[in-house]
Amino acid sequence: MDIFRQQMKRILGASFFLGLLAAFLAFDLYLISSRSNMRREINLINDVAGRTGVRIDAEFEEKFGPILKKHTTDLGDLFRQVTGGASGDTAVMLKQIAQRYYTLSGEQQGRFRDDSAILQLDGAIKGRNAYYEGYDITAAGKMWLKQGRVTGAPARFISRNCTELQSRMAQIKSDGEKDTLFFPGTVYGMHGFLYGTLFGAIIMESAVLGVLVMFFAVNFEFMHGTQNLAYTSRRGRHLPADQFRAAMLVGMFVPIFLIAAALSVFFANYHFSNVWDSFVSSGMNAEPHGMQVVPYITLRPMTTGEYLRANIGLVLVLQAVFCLLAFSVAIYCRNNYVGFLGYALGWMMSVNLPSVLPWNTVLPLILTANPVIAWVDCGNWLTQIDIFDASPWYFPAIFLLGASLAAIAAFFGVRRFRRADL
Amino acid sequence: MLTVQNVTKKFGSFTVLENIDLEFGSGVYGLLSPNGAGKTTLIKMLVTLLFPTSGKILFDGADIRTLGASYREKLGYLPQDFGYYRNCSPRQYLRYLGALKGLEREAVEKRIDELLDLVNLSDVKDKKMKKFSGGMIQRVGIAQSMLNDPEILILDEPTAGLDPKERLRFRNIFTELSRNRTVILSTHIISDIESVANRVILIKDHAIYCDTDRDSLSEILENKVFEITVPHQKADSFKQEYFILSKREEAGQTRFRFVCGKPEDLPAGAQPSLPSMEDVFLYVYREE
Amino acid sequence: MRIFRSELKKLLNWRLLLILCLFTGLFYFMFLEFYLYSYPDGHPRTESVELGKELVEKYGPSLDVAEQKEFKTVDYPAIKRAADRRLAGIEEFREAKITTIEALDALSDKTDDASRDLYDKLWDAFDKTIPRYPEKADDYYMYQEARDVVIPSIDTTQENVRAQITSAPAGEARERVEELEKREASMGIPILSWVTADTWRDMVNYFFILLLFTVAILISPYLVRERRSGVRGIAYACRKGRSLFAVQFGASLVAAALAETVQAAVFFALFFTSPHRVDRAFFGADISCANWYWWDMTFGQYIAWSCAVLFMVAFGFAMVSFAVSKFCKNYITVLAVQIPLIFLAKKLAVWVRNNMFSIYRPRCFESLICDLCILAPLALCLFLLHREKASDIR
Repeated sequence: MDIFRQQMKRILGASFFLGLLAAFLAFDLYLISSRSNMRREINLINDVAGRTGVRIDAEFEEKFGPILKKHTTDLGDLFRQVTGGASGDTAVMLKQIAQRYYTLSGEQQGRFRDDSAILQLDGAIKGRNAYYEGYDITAAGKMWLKQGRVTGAPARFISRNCTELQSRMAQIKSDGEKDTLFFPGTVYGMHGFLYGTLFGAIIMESAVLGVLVMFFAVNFEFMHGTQNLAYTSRRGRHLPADQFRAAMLVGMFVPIFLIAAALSVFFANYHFSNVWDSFVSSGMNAEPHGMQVVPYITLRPMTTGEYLRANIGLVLVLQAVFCLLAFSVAIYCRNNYVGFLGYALGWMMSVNLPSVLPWNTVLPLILTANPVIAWVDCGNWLTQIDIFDASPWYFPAIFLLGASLAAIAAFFGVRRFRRADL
Repeated sequence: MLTVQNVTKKFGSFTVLENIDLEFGSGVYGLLSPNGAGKTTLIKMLVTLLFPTSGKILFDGADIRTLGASYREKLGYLPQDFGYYRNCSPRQYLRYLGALKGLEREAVEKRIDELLDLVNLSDVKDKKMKKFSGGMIQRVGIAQSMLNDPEILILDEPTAGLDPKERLRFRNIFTELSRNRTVILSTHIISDIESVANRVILIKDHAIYCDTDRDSLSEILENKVFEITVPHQKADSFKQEYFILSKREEAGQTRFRFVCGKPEDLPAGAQPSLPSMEDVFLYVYREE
Repeated sequence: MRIFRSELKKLLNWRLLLILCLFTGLFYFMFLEFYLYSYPDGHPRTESVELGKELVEKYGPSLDVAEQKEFKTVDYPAIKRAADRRLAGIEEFREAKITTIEALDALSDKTDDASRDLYDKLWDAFDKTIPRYPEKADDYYMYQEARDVVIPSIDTTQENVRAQITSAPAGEARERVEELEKREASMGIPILSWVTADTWRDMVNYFFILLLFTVAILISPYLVRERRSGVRGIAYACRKGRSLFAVQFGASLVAAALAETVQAAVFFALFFTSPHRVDRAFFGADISCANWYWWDMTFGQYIAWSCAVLFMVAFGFAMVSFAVSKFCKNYITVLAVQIPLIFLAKKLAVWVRNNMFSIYRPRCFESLICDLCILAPLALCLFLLHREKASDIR
């Protein structure tokens, strides 16, 4: 236990660890602040959700109606104040006030922002069905298979996914999941920002720091030339086990810390308190992907709160795989620089490999279950945006494959180390 | 002539060496002291790796710092833990150092062959040094120190890692070299100093304790070293009374070699013995 | 010279060069291959480039007033007729008697369900005639490009011109805009495909990231490796002494310059042998007017300047990497310091390069930034050189 504690202290006290952790946290906070121009609108919509509830039904319309009316009236008043003209079409009023935005007083700008946010919200509520109408996942899947020349087992897998998602879509339409209030995706893109941008940054930062920590811990004795002392002691060549445990624990602590710190600041700034029960598959959550605006169709009903928890869990799964793979590299490569570069090259190759292999075998399909591709797709996890993410087997496969590969490599690495001349 | 003039070296508030005055001419100088006394610090100041906090080091009257390259080209230096490039062969390593020492390429190649022959590494001159034993690495180190045929050769623990036969060989080489150059030898192997040094310098309490020729060193303990055989039961009390240089178990009794400064304190049965350099070393540094 | 060559060999050792080659290959495959070889990639991007090329062949790098008139009266109607023929060549269009652009536009304006259904049906039929990876321009999209891009740029109204002038910052900037407006009126509109400009902008950012990583991978471990080898003590006691550090610095700069030059050579070799070779047609387009630059320049000159600016910033980063290598005791620290630095350098360069030479920035902004990117790290390295002369080597 003492050895383990010493290893932990060594890592947690290392200046590179503390420095990089601070730098990453600062970057995450900077990312969060990059959307601060939308904070007012987001929090206003959250307030509205608190008053109306998230289910868009008759009761919602009753409660939302007066709010909409109030803001429409206020917009008209503001228009008169600013232009002197009579109020009319809201789109025209919005455009004309927007053209004069920088001439408005602070109070007027605030009112304008609130009014336009509510009107946009109303537009998004009315337009929420449009993204589901005519969206045929099965047809999209067929096009994907044709363009990618996918045949055989991968084609069957993808077709099966598409069919399940299509029936899921029918379920969403019928059970009212799409009719839940959320921040309009086409305007604010909060889902993509939180899970794509912020989580994507956290995953990358955690992976980099986790890998560095693992290299640091496992190769510490060689870095300092104390291997002749350390490995001739009683603990001897079993020491890498303690080093691994300590590095793994610290490696898992990093994303927990970054998520806790970043999300605390995020939710302090962007209030989600009244939308946790809104469904991810809400029609209002549709966001642009490529040329289309598509909703997020989860394989099973998931509220925003559940989705957040699931993503946090998946981040930890990925981090575990990254750290395990780092150990299997570190146990072979004593030069941390070459090892890290080799690891990074491995990342790059793993992203590219599925696309260069022929898609009539199961191999490229298996290779897409890798943590780097999952990281590239973050923001779309558990949804149909990337056809693989929606499979319930995707993340278990990532963990199993990654952990198996790491375990096999580590087994032989540790065995080699125990028999090697030092 | 290399002159150390009133040199003091401090690291922060800690004084390593204080008011050191020394002169080095031709011959072999042995630097002797326990670990941490400041030998390596002094040597590093001589080779311009460290700079004195106060005082000067002069070569032929000029400050070595001012002389710069023209002083260093006369230096040959072997550090205690010297570095090397694991993936280089001795030839490549010496070639690189030859360039750093400002030697012409053709001259270096010839010199490399001579030196590797001298240190018995001709067979492995093109093999990577990561495969060498500690002794072989040390021999490469000695070879590099002589690459530029230096006027001043400074060696810090040069025979560490060498077997007795090799050690004898190098002692002879250093002796030959010292005919018309300065060789400064810092070592714990007293027999090396006894064999080759003309002068011995002892450093104690951050200063020069003595700077004398080898033969005069033992005068410190002249007529003060004795040997006696004592029964086991009295051995412990004997050790408390006198400074013991060495002891040996002999047929159920203990034979002590010890120092006694006053004739009236001399125990009965003690026989005088000629003091060796080791005796002097142990006695001078007895508090440490 | 021998010492310099030895240090250079240490920097350009085969292991690092191999890693660099692998990295470069993967980087090209991941980020640059698309921009290089899938160019111009689909419609209407293909047509934008093709139309631009045809206009350059016929009129030169710009359209003066007479040429603009000729385009509107001669070329544009011909393009439209070709588009009409294109539509008429599709059976569904013939059956629906929608065989001209006007008829199609009229149909798209109708809001009744039958018209919307017919419109969708016709578009589906049209889509089926488009190959996935078009190799030549489609007449319909050529017309679209002419109508939506070329004609509006010719028809820029006086009001727009005035709005642009008044929106320019006051003072020298506004004078420059007015000068450019006068010149545009006499010299004409530059012919430059927006696809080419956009693609170049994205590509050059990736190219810069590649340069950054190249110098960082090569230079960062250098002095750490030297310190770990322990040769410094012997080396500094040699005749060369502490001026070896200056040689090491010089060797780092040469290695960085060499590596950057090789990367640039490879990049441009691929660029000019890829479908981008058509871009040479646009190199003569005077873009000063289109984008409100302080200085007169063509698109080709802009490319050259962009590369020069980024080359200098990357070179400055090489000096930063050298300094980092000096300060850091081990490889882990080097990596931990370099990762955020590379990110910051990339952000800085993208910020500098976007709106480069624009009048919305001070006149000598880019040269100031380049100077800073070189001088600040140089000052740091010179400080290290000076410090090395007097420091204790323990």
